[in-house]
Amino acid sequence: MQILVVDDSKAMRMIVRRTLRLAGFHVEVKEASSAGEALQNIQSAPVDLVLCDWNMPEMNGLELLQKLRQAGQSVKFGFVTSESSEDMRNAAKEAGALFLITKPFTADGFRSVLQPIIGS
Amino acid sequence: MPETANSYEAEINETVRDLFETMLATKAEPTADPVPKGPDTITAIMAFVGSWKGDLLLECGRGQALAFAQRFLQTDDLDPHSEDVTSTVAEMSNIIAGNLKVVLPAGVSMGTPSVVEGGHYDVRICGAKVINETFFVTDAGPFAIRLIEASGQNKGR
Repeated sequence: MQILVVDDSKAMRMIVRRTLRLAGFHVEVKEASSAGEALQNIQSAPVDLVLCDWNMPEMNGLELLQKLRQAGQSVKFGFVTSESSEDMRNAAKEAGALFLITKPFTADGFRSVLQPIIGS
Repeated sequence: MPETANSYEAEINETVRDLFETMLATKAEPTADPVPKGPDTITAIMAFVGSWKGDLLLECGRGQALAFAQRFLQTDDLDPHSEDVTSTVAEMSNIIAGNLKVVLPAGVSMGTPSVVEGGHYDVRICGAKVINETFFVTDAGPFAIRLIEASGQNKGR
């Protein structure tokens, strides 16, 4: 299982990586610091799951998801974001996201959301 | 205090408490004691644009920022002047602002965080006013959260 963590914050990429480990998921984690970098990475080397921030400069997470789907990429995709309005949840779901995890989060929260997707 | 300002303060307090308990494994309590600005002050700024314009500022000393980063990233091996420290403070402001957005008027968008280092400055937005100012104390020291509204631009609230 390969997971791509997309976040413009270096600190948050480190936290997500650590939280996956604390949640008990022994997975290979790759990182991208922008949506554009993620798009290139996924097209050249597909991953199993994308954990993506929403609010990023140049291209936000929702736009990345829409571009992936337009390109025929069906990679599993979820958001890890500080914003979680009903409108955002609806937009995420409509674009094909499986979940939206709100910051601040815990390892337990990660586990309950990701267990059905990643498995043990 | 106006009802909206009360709801903003309540949301900020709740988010700060959750953030510190879940991701820094410590407590942050509101305090009446102001946080002095000094030459080692670090300020993370999150801008709100759209139907409501303003900024959320998180201000703390470099020592506090380093301690926050050490807890946030769970490592003691950090340079106080490293990107890890500023990135942590920026992310903390992003989390607080993102949660605050829920109680701001619909149609607000957030920018990405900026970080200013040093205390010899004031953040001034033309016609703006501080609508909420909360000081917190932690075992790593104090910090301040300020919510600034660009008055005269926010209609229909």
